[in-house]
Amino acid sequence: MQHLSPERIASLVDEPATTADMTHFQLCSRCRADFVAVRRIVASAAEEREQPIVPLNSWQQLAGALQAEGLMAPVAPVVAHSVVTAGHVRSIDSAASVGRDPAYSPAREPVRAHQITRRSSTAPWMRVVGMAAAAALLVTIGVAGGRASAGGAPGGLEQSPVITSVQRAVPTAPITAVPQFRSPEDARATLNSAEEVYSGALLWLAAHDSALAPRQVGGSAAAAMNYRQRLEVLDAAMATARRALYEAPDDPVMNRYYLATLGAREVTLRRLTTVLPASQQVLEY
Amino acid sequence: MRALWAEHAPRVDAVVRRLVHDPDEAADVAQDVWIQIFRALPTFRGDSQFSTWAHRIAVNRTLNAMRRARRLTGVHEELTEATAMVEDDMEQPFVRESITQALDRLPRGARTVFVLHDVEGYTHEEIASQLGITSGGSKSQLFKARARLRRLLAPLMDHLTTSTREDGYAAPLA
Repeated sequence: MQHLSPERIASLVDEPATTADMTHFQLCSRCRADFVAVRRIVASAAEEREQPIVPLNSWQQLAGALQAEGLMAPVAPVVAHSVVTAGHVRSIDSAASVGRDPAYSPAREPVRAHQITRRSSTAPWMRVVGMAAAAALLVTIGVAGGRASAGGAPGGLEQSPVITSVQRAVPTAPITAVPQFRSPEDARATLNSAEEVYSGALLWLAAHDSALAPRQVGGSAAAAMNYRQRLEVLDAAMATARRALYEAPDDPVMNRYYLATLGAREVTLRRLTTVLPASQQVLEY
Repeated sequence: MRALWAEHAPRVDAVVRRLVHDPDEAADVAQDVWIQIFRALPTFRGDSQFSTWAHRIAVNRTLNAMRRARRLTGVHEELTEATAMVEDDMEQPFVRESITQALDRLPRGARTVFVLHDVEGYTHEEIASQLGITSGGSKSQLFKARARLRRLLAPLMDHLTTSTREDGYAAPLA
């Protein structure tokens, strides 16, 4: 029996089959298996279209090129000043309104409590960026806490109960190299760039990290259990953050923390779907 | 502008990356794509979704860049026999990742047609128009690309279909 050519089998994924093709498939398990495999490849390739990647350039790089092309006016690198007074954090929009790209600031505006329902439609990638922002912010606060415990309290930060809890969470982290900044603006510019690097690494890890892969944790069932447990913890954290946001809707720390948790939840949910048996899918979580 | 870029770059850049194999070149092309998107933004009238509009610009611009770099000279080249196989690693977790890996082993022309048709959803007529080839040529390249991918991914795909080889079969359309 002469088998169908590989190209012919590949064409039958979206081309009509002849009677001879159909008859051959009924008799030949090898060509049938080839057809199933090709069809699976094509289906998987179509899914690839929906897979986002980490942008190939940073915004700073692109902004430089856009400015060179005359498509964008130079923008102030600083978006907002945070002023800490007696335990309350409030944001003051201090970037020059003249010449500032009007689309620049919304992504960094604090998320208010009444916007929580809208955030569920935010792109997963943006949520992960939020997570990066929060993590970078917490690291910075950790550094500030280290300074405070060493006797050099950064202006008013020791008053914040949020920061106190962060200090408790990372009490003994060694601070080997505390960067020196010329001004709060300088520190924030550094923070912004760190956020971008962090978000890139986070997305890369979300796609490639195999630490929780079935092979590492003892099978798909164990991996699924790990992801489910993580989802439960994240849901509890989100509930707490949501309550805090209703109390202090403008608090940038809580806003970033909430977005961070959302991002982590999204990534975890995506990973969970990859370890479930083919017969199962997550409809709602 | 930044908000627009932040929302759409993950998918627009993905198109560029799939078409351009070299990461550094892909980054250059992606920057060029975004400059073109912002340059053409005033002409976007909302007839289609922004993502669709930007996607078209990304594909056109990328193909132009590839042409300039003489990367499409091999669009008609014959597929050679596989000399390198994707590693027989049954623990490779995702079929999609394997396909991405195997795509790198395809000749550029076949890869371009496969990405445009099977990933990006272009028709053979659109591909033919974009690449300056015939619709039949596009089909021929696509089927060769699929067959080659099937060979490259044989260990993984056979492993995955072992349990469903009979149950998972649904006859092609007659």
